[in-house]
Amino acid sequence: MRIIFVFFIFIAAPSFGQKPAIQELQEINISYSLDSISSKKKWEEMETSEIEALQAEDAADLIQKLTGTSIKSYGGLGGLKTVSSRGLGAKHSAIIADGFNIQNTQNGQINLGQIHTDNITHISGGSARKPMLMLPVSAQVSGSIFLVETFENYFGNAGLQYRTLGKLGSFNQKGTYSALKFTNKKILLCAHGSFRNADGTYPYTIPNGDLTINGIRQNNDYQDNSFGATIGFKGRNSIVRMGYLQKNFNQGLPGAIIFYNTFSDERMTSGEQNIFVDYVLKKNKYFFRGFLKLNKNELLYKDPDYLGQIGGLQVRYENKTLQIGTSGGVELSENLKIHFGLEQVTSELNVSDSSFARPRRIHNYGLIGLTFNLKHQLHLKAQLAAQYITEENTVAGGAGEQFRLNPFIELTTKEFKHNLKHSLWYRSSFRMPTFNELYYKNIGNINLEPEEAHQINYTWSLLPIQKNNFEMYLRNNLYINLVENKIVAIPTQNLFVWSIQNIDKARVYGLDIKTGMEWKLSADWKAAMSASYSLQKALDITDRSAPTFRHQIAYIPLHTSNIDLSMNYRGAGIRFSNHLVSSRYCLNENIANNKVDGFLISSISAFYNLKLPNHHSINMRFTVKNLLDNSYAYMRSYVMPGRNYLIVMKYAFN
Amino acid sequence: MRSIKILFVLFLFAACDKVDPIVPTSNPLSNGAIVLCEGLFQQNNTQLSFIRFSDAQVENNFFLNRVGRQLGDTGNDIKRYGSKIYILVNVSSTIEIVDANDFSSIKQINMMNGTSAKQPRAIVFHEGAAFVTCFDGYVDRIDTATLNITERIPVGANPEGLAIANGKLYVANSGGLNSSSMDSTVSVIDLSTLEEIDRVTVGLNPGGIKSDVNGAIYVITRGNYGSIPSRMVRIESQTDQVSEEFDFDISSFSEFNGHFLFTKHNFSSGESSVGIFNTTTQTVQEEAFISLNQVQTLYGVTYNPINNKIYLSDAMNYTNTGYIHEYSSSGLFIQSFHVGLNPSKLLFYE
Repeated sequence: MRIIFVFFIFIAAPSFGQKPAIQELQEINISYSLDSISSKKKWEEMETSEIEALQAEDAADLIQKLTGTSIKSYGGLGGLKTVSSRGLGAKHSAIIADGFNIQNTQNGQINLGQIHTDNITHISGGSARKPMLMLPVSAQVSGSIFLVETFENYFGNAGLQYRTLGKLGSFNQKGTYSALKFTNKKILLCAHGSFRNADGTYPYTIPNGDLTINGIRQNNDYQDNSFGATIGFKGRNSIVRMGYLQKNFNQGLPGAIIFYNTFSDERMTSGEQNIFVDYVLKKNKYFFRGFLKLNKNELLYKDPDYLGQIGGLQVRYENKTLQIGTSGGVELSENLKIHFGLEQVTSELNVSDSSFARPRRIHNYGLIGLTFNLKHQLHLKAQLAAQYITEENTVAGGAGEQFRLNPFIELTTKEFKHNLKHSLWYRSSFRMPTFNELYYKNIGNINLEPEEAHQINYTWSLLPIQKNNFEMYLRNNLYINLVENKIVAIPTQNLFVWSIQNIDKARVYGLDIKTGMEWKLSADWKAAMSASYSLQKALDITDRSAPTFRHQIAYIPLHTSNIDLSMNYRGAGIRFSNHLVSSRYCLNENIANNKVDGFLISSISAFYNLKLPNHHSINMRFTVKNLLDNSYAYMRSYVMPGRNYLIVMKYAFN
Repeated sequence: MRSIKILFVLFLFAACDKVDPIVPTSNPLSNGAIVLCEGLFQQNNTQLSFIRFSDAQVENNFFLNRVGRQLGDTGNDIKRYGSKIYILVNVSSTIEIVDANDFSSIKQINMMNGTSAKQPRAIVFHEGAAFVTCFDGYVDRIDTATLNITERIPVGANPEGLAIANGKLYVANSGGLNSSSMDSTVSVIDLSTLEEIDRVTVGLNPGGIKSDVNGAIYVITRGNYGSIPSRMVRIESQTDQVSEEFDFDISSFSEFNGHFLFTKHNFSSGESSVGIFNTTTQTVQEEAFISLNQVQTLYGVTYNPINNKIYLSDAMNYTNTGYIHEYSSSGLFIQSFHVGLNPSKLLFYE
């Protein structure tokens, strides 16, 4: 039983902290525009001011504001939180931090709960995206992509900059973040560090038949710290940048709230180290990027009460990843650009348990594509990616070789009257089985095939319309996704002995609508509203004779919505934020016993930005989260906190 | 805010579910079967289903409906002793004791040892006492009058099944939580002194254990679910020595008119069968006694001596609600009952 639990909690810490090259490319005045990392059209993106106003604890809190996303949260500061987009599993989602794909070959998903937001200046993503030519190929070929940019890696002309903040919150939360940066047209120097601590205890209420159980969430303490430095040089046509980042985590694992047995004392200590080098060249009609990143994740899991061994269970995992790659392109004519990418990701896993596998995977990526302006106001974008994966296991048999070709094609109208734009695209992608899925003791299955995804999307968008003091935008997506060879863990021998199998097949029909409006009421007053709605009909189509045929896939809500209202007066403001998730099912069988209630979470935050002479400023924020004190859960038996508070004070120079 | 709440309410009712009807069941309970549906780990969804034989109606969520709360997480055993029914819930680490007639709750025993869960697995009764295997390496003795734990008897690692013969308690030590070093022994406990007097080596990963009418003990050694197959051995209770190792595959067994119905499940092919083992001749009387056309995943077999019928538990794919299939004593299919998630043990009412 615990074996299964251990399997699910192993989330190695994400790497984080490098800056994409695209911003710099824009800064060195490229003669033609590359696809930027973000659309800059208020679609699926958030900038610093919005991020600060939301007062998110972590990246998951921000990403759930993007349409078409589903968060799985096991609760608590630093607790496991993953994102899936448009009914694809979380392992189809790539998290790109400052131009690098965060890799975790051991479990294939990134814990968003360990990505704090104090240094995030921009976040965007989802499935509805354009090809982003400068990103690693491993990111470009993923099913969905979420881009995170941080303060630490931008070039600029600000000279010396300093940021420091302190925060206090419920659950005895304390945190701080500081960054010292010097940047001008030629140099980038930055050193930064952060610390967070919380005891994590919170009261909860959970129904049990006719009873209501009131309890205190225990063993939910969390500590993390990070530090790093970046150095960069910019020439007339090129940029080179290198950096180091280390993160350390120490946390209790509270587990599910088990009726009549809520005690837990499992712990996880993890850490990661990252070194990266990034080089970008742009000259005339050519661009080129070369990059390298070395990542090492270590994780120690302890369960003192594990009944299988005297003294409990203690396992150490070490996952190393080397990413090396290039991307580039050339403008052949006014209407034709081509681009390419190559990347190799080598991953190794070592485990203290000598009977565990010692897998090593070499994942090779290649990509070629073009952008072509057709007649009749049409753009064509097409790319073809090839992936070749080899794998070995020094302990026993390893998974075999894999080779895949994945196309992407998009047809877009040029903007014409009413700022209306149409886009139709198809993407094929897959995700490899993780080391855990292939080799986890007694559970893994080395015969697994990759999980395949096919996405067809239609988008129309009303680009920002500005009239007098009013601005609005509107966008709508319709999509159909097909996921085949879904990798799922199922009991195959009895309830205690599970195995990983390629058995499921899912079809997802979806709709996203997002609109936003902004009014400048006077020189001092500004009001804004944004609203989004996502429909995800994610159906199990594995077996016509099964009782779950055409039932909604577990934990994918049929409806999600965000409604945010804000009012600003000079440097002060207030934001009222609402996140709605409809009921879901904890298993694929859509019966009452499997239902997990929907929820509405409202938060309100007030902020004041005090500008002081000589480019100094102080920003103060106060947020009440879960304003209505609702008892809710993303996952069955993992109840989230009730009403809670956060106070932040930030000082900035330049 | 009002519009948000209206939208929220609409969302809440967005998904329509088939809700199991509550079938009125009279007291005292009679002519039926209680089915223990184990549920799934960390889902708190262990439940009971009550099958009423008179009109083939099923009431799911039976414990919840009668007691007003959930059983908890991962039920493992259910048995009746006198006027009480004992239900063991492994991950919740509780024993629920209910009145056998009206199913009202009598007591919930919290099976914790300090902060550590004992994780109860199986139960047998002997002369006013219940003996419960606990995954923490003990057998707990419970006085069935006071319902208090009176003794903790240390045995091997992660004990599973237990059986009584010749004044002794036989406990299968599985060691199943340590897959790289599973146990291979059966502990023998003298019921007069409540002390372990012997430990018999039987084979890897012992689980199910039963006695026959002659006082012999049969143990299923489940192997490693791979290269070492699941087999049965016999222990003589007079000598506490292994007298025979049978060379046929077997996954579980159930008493059947003095003999055993046994199941075997091939984990590679997914194929299952139900046979008869003759305890008199000590041979397999029939390899495939019942045609399993109706069964997707055979999860248990139980014979009901009251109505002389056989019941097979079908776990489907372990994540969908299951079925109990009813057969005549000659192995002919009669009907199926749709019950809860992962049905395993049955308890019958006259």
